[in-house]
Amino acid sequence: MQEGVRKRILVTDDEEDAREFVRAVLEDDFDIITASNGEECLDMARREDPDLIILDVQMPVMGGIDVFVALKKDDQLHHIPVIMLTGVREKTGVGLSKEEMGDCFGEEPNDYLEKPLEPSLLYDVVCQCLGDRE
Amino acid sequence: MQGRLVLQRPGGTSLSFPLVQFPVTLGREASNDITLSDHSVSRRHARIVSDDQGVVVEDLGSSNGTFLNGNKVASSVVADGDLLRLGNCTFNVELVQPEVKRDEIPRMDSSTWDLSTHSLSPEELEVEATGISAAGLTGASTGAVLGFFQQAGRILERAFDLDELLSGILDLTFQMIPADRGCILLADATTGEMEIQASRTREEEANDSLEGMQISRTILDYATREGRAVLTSDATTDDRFGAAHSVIIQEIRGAMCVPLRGREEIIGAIYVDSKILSHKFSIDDLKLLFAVGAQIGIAVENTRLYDANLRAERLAAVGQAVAGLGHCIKNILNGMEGGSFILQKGIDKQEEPSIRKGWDILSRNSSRLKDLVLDMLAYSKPREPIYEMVEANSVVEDVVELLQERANGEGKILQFLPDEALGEVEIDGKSIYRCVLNLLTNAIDACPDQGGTVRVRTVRPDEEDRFQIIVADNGCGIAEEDLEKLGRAFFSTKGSKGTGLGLSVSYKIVSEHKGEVLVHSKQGQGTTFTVALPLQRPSE
Repeated sequence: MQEGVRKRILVTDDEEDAREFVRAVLEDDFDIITASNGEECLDMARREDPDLIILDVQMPVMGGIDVFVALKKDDQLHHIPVIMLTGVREKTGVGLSKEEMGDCFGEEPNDYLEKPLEPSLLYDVVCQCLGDRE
Repeated sequence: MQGRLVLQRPGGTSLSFPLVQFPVTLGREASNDITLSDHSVSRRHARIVSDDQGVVVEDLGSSNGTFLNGNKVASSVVADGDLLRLGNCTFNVELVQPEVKRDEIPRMDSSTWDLSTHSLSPEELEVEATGISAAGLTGASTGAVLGFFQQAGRILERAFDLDELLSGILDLTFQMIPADRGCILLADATTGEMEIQASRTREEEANDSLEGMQISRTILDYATREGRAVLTSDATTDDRFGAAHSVIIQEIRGAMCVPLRGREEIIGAIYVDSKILSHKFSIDDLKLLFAVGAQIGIAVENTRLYDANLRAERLAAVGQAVAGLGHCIKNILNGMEGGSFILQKGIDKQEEPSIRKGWDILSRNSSRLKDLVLDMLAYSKPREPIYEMVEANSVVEDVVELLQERANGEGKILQFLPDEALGEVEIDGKSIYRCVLNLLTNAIDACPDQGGTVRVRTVRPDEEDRFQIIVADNGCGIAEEDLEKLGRAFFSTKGSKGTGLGLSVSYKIVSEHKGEVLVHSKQGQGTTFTVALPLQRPSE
């Protein structure tokens, strides 16, 4: 990544350890801001206008899918790419697959990664998402 | 079906009319199959037909009527032993082959070694409890027969467990039939092979060993293949079975075998036999056994279906549990991977803060895994509390001390208000520690990061033989629809933090102590868990 164009990523996960993991993987090349729940994520997204949101699916009160739907409905936030993370395998429980989310909500997240995270995969996917946007 | 009508004549003599080809007409005219030169009998009085109900007598519009067992009938099924009267002529109805007559059952006399094997089809054995003459049973009275069917009915009503059903029926059968050995066999679902499911012998009161009994496969095969009830009074001399290996080896003197009919096919058999000459079986024993077989066939089938459903449900529950666990473990694993990634990065860059952070995350997640495993173990097996006299306050205090640092770190207040009058109580200290730990962890998690307060109190209400541990938080509260799901394994509202096991374990521990958990919660205001436990080990 080029100096001077550091992009800002909003990491939303209710677990601090998980947020720190993502931060450690990305912090060398990106600015990381974090939120620990869905509402905070929406607030920060409006305030900070991040270039990318990384969103955990399983969160109490407002789950990642609800946050995703709210982001996509919001004209101001609609354009921000989203990468979702889940500890549940796709198609089980809360886990809609990327395509199923597209079917349900008319919008697909840019990617959908499973926990435990593979650091290099996360890094590549993030770069790809941000590259797509340019 | 064959049989005969035996006409009782004055002077004690009788005249026998075989019933071989149906219909059989009776009347005064010579064209009838059975001609009765009696003026009280009409020209064409009645006829006997055989249909799918069995043997039926039909009155053909006679002047004086046709009477079965004293009742005037237009058309009625007749059974073995019935009295049929046309005018002044009274017949004894015998509907099994003549040699099957009860008094003709051969004595087990060693000098004659009389062959006496009967095999009867279900139609020939259409018997109800009342159709069995108690006099014909070698081991029982009429009252006992009725009692038998009442008891059998109760076993059938209650039985959800196949083994219980079969051994109950077998025990009951032994009360009525003088058998030395008996067993119930069921066809294996895949191979169709008859396998012993329950067995007993008279000598040992209950012989649960399924291998223990070798039975006459020859007799069994005949009964299940042909679908007939088989009685053999001396199997060693029977034409059909005499040469058979299993009969000779075991020197069976008398054996009975009846098929168990399910809805569509024969699903098994009841087999009893006797090695002792003095124990002989009668036709009525066979009828009784047949009636048992008829009743339990369907019950066995139902029980098997029930079992299959239960197995499917259990598998589904196991599947759910495994999925729930998989989720928990993945999240912990994510923490550990993250910890080691940060640790590695710190080592590579020689940055102590990173090393420390990575290490903290690693060890925190390793203790989460340990907690999960402990909860799983506590949840998975029923266990009796290991009671000891302990200071209830110090158990709670230990938990509070453990969690104090964490609560403070998150900007939350954790307070303990012990009831100093509580003193020693008889509980399983380790279990209650675990229970309180889970409740307190939940309470802290429920609180907002700043301004959250968790209060733990112990209370010993006057004049009660219980004490309470009360955990109250001012956190997010529990939604009404979630309240009823509390304590359900793998149900969690904590997102990836929750295992869905902690509260289940707490509930389980309290219930093992014969205590109770009360929950009071208002969304947005907080939750109070009240654990009430007996002061002393409850008496059994």
